[in-house]
Amino acid sequence: MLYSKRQKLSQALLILFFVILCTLIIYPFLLLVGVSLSSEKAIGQYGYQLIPKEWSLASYKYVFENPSAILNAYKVTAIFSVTAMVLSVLLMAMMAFPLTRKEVRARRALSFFLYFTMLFSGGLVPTYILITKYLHLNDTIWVYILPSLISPWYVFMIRTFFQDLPEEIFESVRLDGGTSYTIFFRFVIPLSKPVLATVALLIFLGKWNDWYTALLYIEDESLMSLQYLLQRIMQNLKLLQSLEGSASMVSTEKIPSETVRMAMAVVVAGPALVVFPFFQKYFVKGLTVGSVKG
Amino acid sequence: MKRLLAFCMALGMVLSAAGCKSKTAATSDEIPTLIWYLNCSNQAGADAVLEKINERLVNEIGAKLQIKFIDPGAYNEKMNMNMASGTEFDLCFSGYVNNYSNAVKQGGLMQIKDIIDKEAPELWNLIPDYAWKSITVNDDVYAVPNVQLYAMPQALFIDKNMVEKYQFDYEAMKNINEIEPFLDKIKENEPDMYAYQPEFGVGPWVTDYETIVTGFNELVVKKDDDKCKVVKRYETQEYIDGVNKLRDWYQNGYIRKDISSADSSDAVSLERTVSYASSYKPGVEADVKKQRGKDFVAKTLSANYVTSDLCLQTLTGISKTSKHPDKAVKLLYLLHSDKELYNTLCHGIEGVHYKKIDDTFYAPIENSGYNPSRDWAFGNQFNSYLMEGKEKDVWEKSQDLNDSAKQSRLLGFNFNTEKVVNEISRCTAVLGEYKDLENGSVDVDTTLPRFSRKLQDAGIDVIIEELQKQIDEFIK
Repeated sequence: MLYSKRQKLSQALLILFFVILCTLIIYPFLLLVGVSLSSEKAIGQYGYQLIPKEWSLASYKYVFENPSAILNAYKVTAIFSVTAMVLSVLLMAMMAFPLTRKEVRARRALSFFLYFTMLFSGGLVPTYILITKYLHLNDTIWVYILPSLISPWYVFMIRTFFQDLPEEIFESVRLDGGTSYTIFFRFVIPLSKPVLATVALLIFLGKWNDWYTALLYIEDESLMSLQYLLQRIMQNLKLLQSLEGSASMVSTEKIPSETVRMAMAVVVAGPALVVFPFFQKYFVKGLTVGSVKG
Repeated sequence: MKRLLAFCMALGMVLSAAGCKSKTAATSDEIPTLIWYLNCSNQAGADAVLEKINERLVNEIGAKLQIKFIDPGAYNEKMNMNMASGTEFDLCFSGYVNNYSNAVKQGGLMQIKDIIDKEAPELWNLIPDYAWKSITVNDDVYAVPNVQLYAMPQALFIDKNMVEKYQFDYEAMKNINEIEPFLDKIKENEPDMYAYQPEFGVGPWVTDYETIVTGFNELVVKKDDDKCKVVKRYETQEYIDGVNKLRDWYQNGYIRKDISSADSSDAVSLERTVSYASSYKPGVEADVKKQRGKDFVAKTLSANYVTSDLCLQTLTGISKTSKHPDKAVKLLYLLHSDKELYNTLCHGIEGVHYKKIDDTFYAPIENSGYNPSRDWAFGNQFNSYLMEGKEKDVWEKSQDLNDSAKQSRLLGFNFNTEKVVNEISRCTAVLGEYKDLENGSVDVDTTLPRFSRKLQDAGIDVIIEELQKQIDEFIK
């Protein structure tokens, strides 16, 4: 394509802007990786460096000291994140669709019912009592999945997207003898990939980073989420580093604490980095999706 | 589509099944199990240790002990939930986390004065009076204090190598300001080091006053004031001198420039710190060496003094939901009086988790799966074996510090904050904004008056009035 001079200039400026933006985002991440591969001593002496003066894998050794626990946490976290993501998106889409249909008379009341929960919640203690004493979800994997399966905020987001779907499609499906299920599963869902993918990603990341649930409800070691496990390793490290902790330590050898912190960030960020590109194509597509010609 | 529907229905069934699955009730043993919540990371070897302890407990108190290890970072939250939701348990750690006054106010702990009188009156004598006095609320007690060093004096810790290199006569120091010439030398000759490091939570040097309300340092009482007049800490000469001194040190380069954003416990700080202030306990030098990887000397610069706050750090509360408070109290009595049982709980099984060196010393075995290091949560710390390498008389010295300490007139005073809750939360918010006042990184002459005015606006005088009223009532 040919650009005029002016276009070239604005193009250059745009590229420059995004180069700077990317650097600002990537540099800290590379620094993170660099520090995680550095030896603890070098950090004490030279500060944080992109390319370590002394290479060391001690931090990763420490994090993976107990590999079965970490792998198990990976497994648990992956299972509940994916399950919650799939269930959550499906249920929320199923909830949002009727809210856009004129033939559903109660849709205003239903919307208000949803909206109400955004304003008022039961509070932490009643929720805790409900989950532990009545639903008995504590120490099961379902506690990660079931509460907060429906988020009103996302339901409204999906609803808004559904509202923009052309009514003509639905009419023609009806004329061809399709049921509401056909409309929903064959047309609404495929046409709404951008918004569903966005919501799915957000839910996935939310679940992937969830540590508070484990803190409150999980005592069983084999059901710990990854974030909670890592946070715990970090805390134990902090403790060992404190006066009280070092007093009970056997050896006087120094534990790699700074580098471990970074290594853990790398460990937990890794999978999220892998997952993101799969969703990305939908974000781009989201802008170009059109359905009714002319 | 049908498959999808079927899948959803199947899922629904699984979910409801999971929901219905109630926990199988504990088998109705004749011997009850006492549940003890502890703020300690999970100990893999705990089962073996508890089994050994339970052999004795079954005979001596007719109950078994189970410890629920809760990660220290999660403990506060977890206990709040447990108490608020009425979860059944028997004992729990209370003190610097799971705050005692809050737990009592929340109704999570049980009154045990009568139970102690009946089941283990000896306990009253095994624990110093002032500790009991400190935890007395409404003429009753809701916990049993753990015995440890309460009266910790404030001290200055200085890198030993540096002391020798620059021949600093730290023993002769009378007050903290006399360290200045030494700091100056460090700054001149050791550009990479942090001459003085204001540690987290350690502000300017104030030793003539004691704080009254836990977690709220701004209201103090002069230690030798018999009338216990409440004053604002930030208006005392000692405080003003203290923050000005820190400001000087910051401007002279004794304190690192990035102090307001720095974490004093990270690797870089631990490596480079030359001097810092902290509380002192006998034998602490060995711990500091392990923590920082180099020798430090300590010079105590304040008298040992006991306040309620210090006694309230490590207690064991009995839960209001306990079905067997009598057995729980008996258990605590045993731990306070029986050295062997106590040490098993502290250090594990001899030969498996620790090596016994002689009657005084032990050495933990590395990676043995049991090293909770909670001797201050299980009873009388002075009964604990000492780790190899410590001085033999650490506990005697600690005991001496306790015994010789001057006691606060306000021991056992408990501020009822009901009427001033709003003022306190407003003031606490202000405190958060002005943390940098206490590390030298902001100008004192402009910040201090602003700080004072903000607290004034937040209603600090209302708190003082209420506090003074309650104190006058207390010392009457």
